[in-house]
Amino acid sequence: MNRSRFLAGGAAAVLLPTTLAPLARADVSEGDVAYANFAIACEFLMADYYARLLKAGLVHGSARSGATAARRNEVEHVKAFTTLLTDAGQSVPVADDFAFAWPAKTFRSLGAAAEAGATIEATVLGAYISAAVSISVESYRSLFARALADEARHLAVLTWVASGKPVGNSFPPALGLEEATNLVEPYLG
Amino acid sequence: MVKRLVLAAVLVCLLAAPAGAREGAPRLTIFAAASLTEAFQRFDSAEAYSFAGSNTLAAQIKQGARVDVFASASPQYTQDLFRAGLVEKPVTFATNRLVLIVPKSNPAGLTSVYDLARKNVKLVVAAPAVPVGAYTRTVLRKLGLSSVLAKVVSQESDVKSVVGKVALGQADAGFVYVTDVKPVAGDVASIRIPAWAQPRVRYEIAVVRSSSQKAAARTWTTRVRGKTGQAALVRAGFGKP
Repeated sequence: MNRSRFLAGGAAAVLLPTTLAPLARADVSEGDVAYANFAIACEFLMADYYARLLKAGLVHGSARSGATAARRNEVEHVKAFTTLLTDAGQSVPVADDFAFAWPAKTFRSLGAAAEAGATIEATVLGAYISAAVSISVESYRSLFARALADEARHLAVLTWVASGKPVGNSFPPALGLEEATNLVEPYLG
Repeated sequence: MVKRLVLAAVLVCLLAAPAGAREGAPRLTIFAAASLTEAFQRFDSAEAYSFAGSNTLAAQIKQGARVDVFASASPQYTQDLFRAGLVEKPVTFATNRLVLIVPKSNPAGLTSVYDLARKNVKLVVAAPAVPVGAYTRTVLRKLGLSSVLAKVVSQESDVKSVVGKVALGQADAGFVYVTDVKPVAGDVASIRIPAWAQPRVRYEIAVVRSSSQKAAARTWTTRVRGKTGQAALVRAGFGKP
């Protein structure tokens, strides 16, 4: 399979509908709230990433469709995690709460863009693995698990573009919130 | 020669007038959040300021204090006074962010906000009714670290008291606004709070309805929101509304 066929496959994968079951209104722990706040910030960040990738004109054809779909995925994830915070009676962050800081060269080449995107997606994936096993409410655990499966698809495509090696660890590492925060904080501004 | 004398006289007048002074006009009385102390005094040193916790100042306005302008670190207090008919419609004029400060010597060895949960620390925060105290609790809740409130050794009435306690080494750490660090940069070090855990800190300003100088007060609030006011606030580290 060449790179463009793989990108087309990735696009098809991310275009699959992601219908989310209604979330239970239950007692949400403070740890759950922390994961949801982190997740919303990262999803806004990645939505911004795909928007900038598209605007920079670095992807064309099926790859462009894939990036468009990935952006839509991130927006849908935001909506789902927002529900978690609303259920918990917490205030919900909006995109304007963040001033994303992209290094100057990030969107000057597809390779640089893919590398930055892969770094963030890998971090998000690691944090969602931790969330999927530690969140107190089952439906929220399921939400994180489904979102992490989607992010893993994004990561595979970006890693393929950045390094030519889409398949990595058999067991991607789980990341605690503190470690994950340290990795994405430079982009969150 | 005459031209030189006139020029010299003009220069003397300009230098003698305090920054931002309104010539011949009585001074405005301005109640402002403690965190605005340096920024407002640098922006306009001619007015009469009272800096304190926004909750305290709002309570004084409710009790009939003679004030022209109220600048609050939280919309909660300006909106409350607006609903009570005590101030004109409040307007947002600045934003801010929170940071954790430690004494320069950092005796507890803190490097991350998460260290508050791991280490035995003496934490100082503002009381919950004070805007920075409420924001502190929001940050801790967002981080999943509310349990560290058990380590609080002192609850202060305004942000400058929190800064003072940490700067003097009476506490290992305290939550303050990022704008509070600059004036005590020699005494404290700051530890960043993740962007995703930051509360939405908005400052609002309003003319007090009982003011005897409403026109001048309105002009002043317009100046704060104008180019020079915003430049002074940005220089002090505040964000734009």
